[in-house]
Amino acid sequence: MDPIKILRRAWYILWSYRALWVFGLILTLAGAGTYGNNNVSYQTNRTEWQNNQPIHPENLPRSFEEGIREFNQEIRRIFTEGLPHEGISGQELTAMLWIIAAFVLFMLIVSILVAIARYVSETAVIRMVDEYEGTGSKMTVRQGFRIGWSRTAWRLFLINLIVNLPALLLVIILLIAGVVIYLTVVSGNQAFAAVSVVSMIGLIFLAVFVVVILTIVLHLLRQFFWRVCALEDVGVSESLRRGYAMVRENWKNVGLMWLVMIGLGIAWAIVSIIAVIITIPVVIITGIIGAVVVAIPALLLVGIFSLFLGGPLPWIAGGLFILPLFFIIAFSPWLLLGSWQTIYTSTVWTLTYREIKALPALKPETTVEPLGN
Amino acid sequence: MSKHVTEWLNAYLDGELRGIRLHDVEAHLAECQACQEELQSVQGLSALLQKVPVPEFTSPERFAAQVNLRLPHGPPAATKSKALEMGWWMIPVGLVAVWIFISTAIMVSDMVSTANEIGLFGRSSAWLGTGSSSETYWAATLGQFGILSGNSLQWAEVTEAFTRNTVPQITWQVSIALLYLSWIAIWWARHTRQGHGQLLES
Repeated sequence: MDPIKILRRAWYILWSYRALWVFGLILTLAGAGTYGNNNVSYQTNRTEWQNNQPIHPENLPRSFEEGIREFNQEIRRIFTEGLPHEGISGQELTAMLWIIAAFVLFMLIVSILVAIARYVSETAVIRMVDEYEGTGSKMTVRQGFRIGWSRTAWRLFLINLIVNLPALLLVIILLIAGVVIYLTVVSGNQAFAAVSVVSMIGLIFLAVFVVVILTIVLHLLRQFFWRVCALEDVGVSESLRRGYAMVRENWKNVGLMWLVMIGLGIAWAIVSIIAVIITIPVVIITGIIGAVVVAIPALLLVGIFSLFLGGPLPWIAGGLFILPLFFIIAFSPWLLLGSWQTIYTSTVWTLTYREIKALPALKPETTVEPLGN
Repeated sequence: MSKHVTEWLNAYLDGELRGIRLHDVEAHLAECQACQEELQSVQGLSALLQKVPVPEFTSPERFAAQVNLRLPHGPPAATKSKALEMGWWMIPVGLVAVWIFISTAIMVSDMVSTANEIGLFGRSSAWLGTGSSSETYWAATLGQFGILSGNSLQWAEVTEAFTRNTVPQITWQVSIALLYLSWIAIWWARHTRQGHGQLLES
């Protein structure tokens, strides 16, 4: 297998097959656009938090329990008295709370629709690239949606769910560790609490380290699970079995491709920082266009909300609903950059899959014909 | 006269014939002059071959072993090359592992600091110092000497704390990224050169 040949071919397909960009935009919007889905950006930005919000220990609650109690009291007070200095009554705040709940529900529905679109697009991109490589024929966006809208999209979702199980496990471990630490601290035995805190920190470190490595390996395997599922039209368990067997048999080729893709991910991160800076003027223009486009719906929403809200609340509620649309339009140049990266990554893995599938057929025959026949 | 028995003469001479076949051959030889002469000729050849000294026989295993012994040897070089190759591939894997390890350590450290600051550890965490006093060492020193005061001192403290926390993180991440990119560049160059080499050989 020649990784450079694959990378060059994927580059060519990215620029020559524009219908894929539409699916790339959907995938980027759905948050599926991490480079090769292998990089783990889980580092919290401790410094900003610490420096932007200076901590004064004397103002902090004495314990976690106390803090929660104080927070509850404060919330209850706000919803009964309102914010008098802002001219907002408790009733209006309650109405605002309902609007936020409606917004959460709205976003939940949007998330489900976006998730469906994501897996349909994943299927479409894999099949479109495979079809193009196999027959040389390009599909339209409509045809892409047609081949993507299948049971395979649902299977890809299930595979993704299985692959992300370790992350869920980590969350559970962290929660349990937090509860254990809290219980030992409130038990009153200082020595026991200190020992349990130290051992829990060690356990958390080990759990995070192992889960991160496991997640990286599973995300690499997912590329093959998905392709087996989409291109061989088999069920979830069969995809997992065949995909794993494929990677195990060709671990050197797959490992090499993975290492190369990590390198490309780093290079892409550098390039994207430069590209984001360069495209700021374009984003300003698309921002203005976005503002013009959302202005009328935003004013309509503010008008509706002002019927039962006062002060700045109608504007806040209107902004809540309209800002996602504005951001999509304003940051569309950066979304396009993300979509290119997503399509390129998917294409590379589809070509790798095809190449690995073809490897046994390319091996020289080792059986010797008997002489004289 | 029956058909000549020349094809059975070797077997007759070696005593391998039995029964009717032996009887037929003996009966034919008694009558046929040509076959008698042929028998004598075969007997003569057999006697001649028995006089020739038997060559030493070499088993296939021994022959293969002898060929192997005469082939040019390079096991130490092969092992060295294999180890080098292994080391070459371990570079990016090691970099990724280091990156994961440091990131995990920082993440857990952040979690512990946050949990400590919100009071989750209660009073049992006196040993978990946040180190905030050392984060603004230079600004505090300048403040003590009266060079900075008021807002400028606050800004200096914030800047110093931010720099102290951010710069090491950026430094180690950029270092790993650069090392990784260097590896990729060398690999790419090697791969391209090998490709050209193969083309030239073919």
